[in-house]
Amino acid sequence: MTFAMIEFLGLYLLAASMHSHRGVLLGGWRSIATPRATVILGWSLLALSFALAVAGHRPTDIVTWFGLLPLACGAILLGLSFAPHLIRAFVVAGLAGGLAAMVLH
Amino acid sequence: MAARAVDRRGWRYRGNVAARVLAATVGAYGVASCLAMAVARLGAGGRIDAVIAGTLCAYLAVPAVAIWAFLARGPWRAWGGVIVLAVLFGGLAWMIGPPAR
Amino acid sequence: MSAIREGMRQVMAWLHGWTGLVLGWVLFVMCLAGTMSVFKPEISRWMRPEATASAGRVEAIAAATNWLASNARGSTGWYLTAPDDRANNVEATYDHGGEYVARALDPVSGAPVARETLGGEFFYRLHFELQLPYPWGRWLASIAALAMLTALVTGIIAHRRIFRDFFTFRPRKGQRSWLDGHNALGVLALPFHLMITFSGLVTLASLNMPWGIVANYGNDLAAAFHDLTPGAVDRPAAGRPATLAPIAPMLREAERRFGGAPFSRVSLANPGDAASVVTVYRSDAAQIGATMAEVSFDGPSGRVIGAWSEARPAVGTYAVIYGLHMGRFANGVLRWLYFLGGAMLTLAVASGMILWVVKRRERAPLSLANRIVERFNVGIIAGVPIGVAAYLCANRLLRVGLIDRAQQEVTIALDAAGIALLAALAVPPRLGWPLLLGVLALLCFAAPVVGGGLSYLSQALGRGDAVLPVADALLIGVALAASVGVRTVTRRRSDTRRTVRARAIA
Repeated sequence: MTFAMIEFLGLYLLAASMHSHRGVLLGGWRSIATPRATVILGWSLLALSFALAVAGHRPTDIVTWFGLLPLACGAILLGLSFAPHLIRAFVVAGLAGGLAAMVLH
Repeated sequence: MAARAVDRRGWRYRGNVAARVLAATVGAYGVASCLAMAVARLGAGGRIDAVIAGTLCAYLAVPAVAIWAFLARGPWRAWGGVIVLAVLFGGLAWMIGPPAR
Repeated sequence: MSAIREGMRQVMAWLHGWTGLVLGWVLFVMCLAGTMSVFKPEISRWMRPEATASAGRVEAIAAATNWLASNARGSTGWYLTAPDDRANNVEATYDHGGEYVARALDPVSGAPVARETLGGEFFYRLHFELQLPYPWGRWLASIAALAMLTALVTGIIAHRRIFRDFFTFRPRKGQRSWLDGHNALGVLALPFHLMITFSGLVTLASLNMPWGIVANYGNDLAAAFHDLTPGAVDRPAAGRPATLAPIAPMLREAERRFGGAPFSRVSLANPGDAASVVTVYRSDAAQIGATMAEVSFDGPSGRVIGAWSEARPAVGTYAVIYGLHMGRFANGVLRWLYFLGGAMLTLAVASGMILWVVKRRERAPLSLANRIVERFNVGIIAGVPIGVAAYLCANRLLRVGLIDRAQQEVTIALDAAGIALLAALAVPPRLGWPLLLGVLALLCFAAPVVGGGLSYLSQALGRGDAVLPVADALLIGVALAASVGVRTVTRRRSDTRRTVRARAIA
């Protein structure tokens, strides 16, 4: 669960580092989040999530990591194309929900 | 004829494509099979372990040879590459001979 | 100038397009059937809604072998798959009078379940045999998989801005949108597509790349298979009859040797013979690798005559690759991710075929060949799902006691798809698309409901069984998507006509 959320966040930041998507995905954070910082943070989070999956106690976690790529990227892609005004809210809600689920479990 | 245009009509073009298609299909499979045999006979470890290594390599060879068949400068070169590789791998397998046991 | 096109990326794009086109329809069927096979046991449960009895693995196999001992005498082999958390019946394939039959056996009585159907097994077989006799179907599947591998690699090389385009999708822009969609479906799940294609080839290796075995073993195929699974003993029949020892102790001994991991497959060679062999395989669901351990028993005495637990790196790698393709280890979210990957690959193939036509139509009026391609696209992309939906409806509608019922369901599926394809070839695509998509929507709305579907659904809900409700919901979802498709295709046609008329008036 942890590595899934970090993986999603990393991919989100990689998308946000792209010039055409910066405005939509970062919103008010645009001023402090330079493209370079966003890219570095994005790749770092992605690498961290992969390391967590590899080190995880279940050998299938690596397979899950690869399987989540299309899901996360697809969600970002569809959000950008069809609901750009909602995408930031969804991401925040999703992360909050994920954290809550982890804490409560 | 324009200097760098590709003439898509005509039998010269069709022959070019046909020769390359054969190299990319039959030729690629032939190279892959020879590679499987060479790696299987070269392999250290048990007989079946080497067979597995060879078979896995063979599948990687098919798209590689297919791409070569179409990137090579001409259909003769495409087939030349295919034949050289097939003879190289096949010859290697034949020279090493079947494993003991 | 001997190059096919100017520039490397153009050559790659050209090769990608042609490789995809030549076997695209075959690949579409393979990908669709494969994606459905992810839920093979669940589909089988949907198709046997009354068969809800359950029993433990050992008891179920014992019941099955008891029934088979009385009803499949003189058989050369019984191949059984034990029930688990996803399937409650014993899946049995056995030699009955010289011909192999497949039946689901009740886990309590051992007798075949009343509703004779192939269930999800139909999609599994369709996926790698394409309804063709052995070995032609598997050969075609292998060639198609090699084409897919080449298409993937050439597609990657041809895609200039692969990272830039990662999150790009521009809807409602004609060819541009189809290209964006095709790229997204291909690139976003690229690790899955490469893995599933490569591993798929590996599963058919003994047929399509046997040369390594030939090089090292010559004609001695039996030696090669023995080296691969040393715990499985293969010996000829003795010709003298003998009764099989009780199977339950053998199964328990096997599980003890598996370190407590469950077994799943049991094969009984020459069961009524004095030289019969019972081989028990460790479950593929217990780890990623498939066929990681097996134990063989002498049939009449129950004595262990072979046992193996895979630890060799090369064979273990083969087992993991095989297991990754089968995906039996995947449960919960991961199983749905496999389904997502398969669905994306299926849609990537379909969108590629459509893109071929759309791209050429925007340049110039279609040639005859491309008009035929366009009609085949309709027939395959909409027609094959019609066959699938017809199969499900036939399952509900055919009388339970019918002779050869399972084969009849398959015939209905193939006939429906065939008729849909013929219809698509006969009418122009602007009629073909809404017609076929409309029929698909109707069949998918019907499947959960006809033949007592609603009562099966309420019974399942009462038991707390999620399979029927989720499957029915998916069917409704597909029906709705197909309905939206009908509207989109007809609306775009009338928009274009309105624009043309407006331009003519102005």
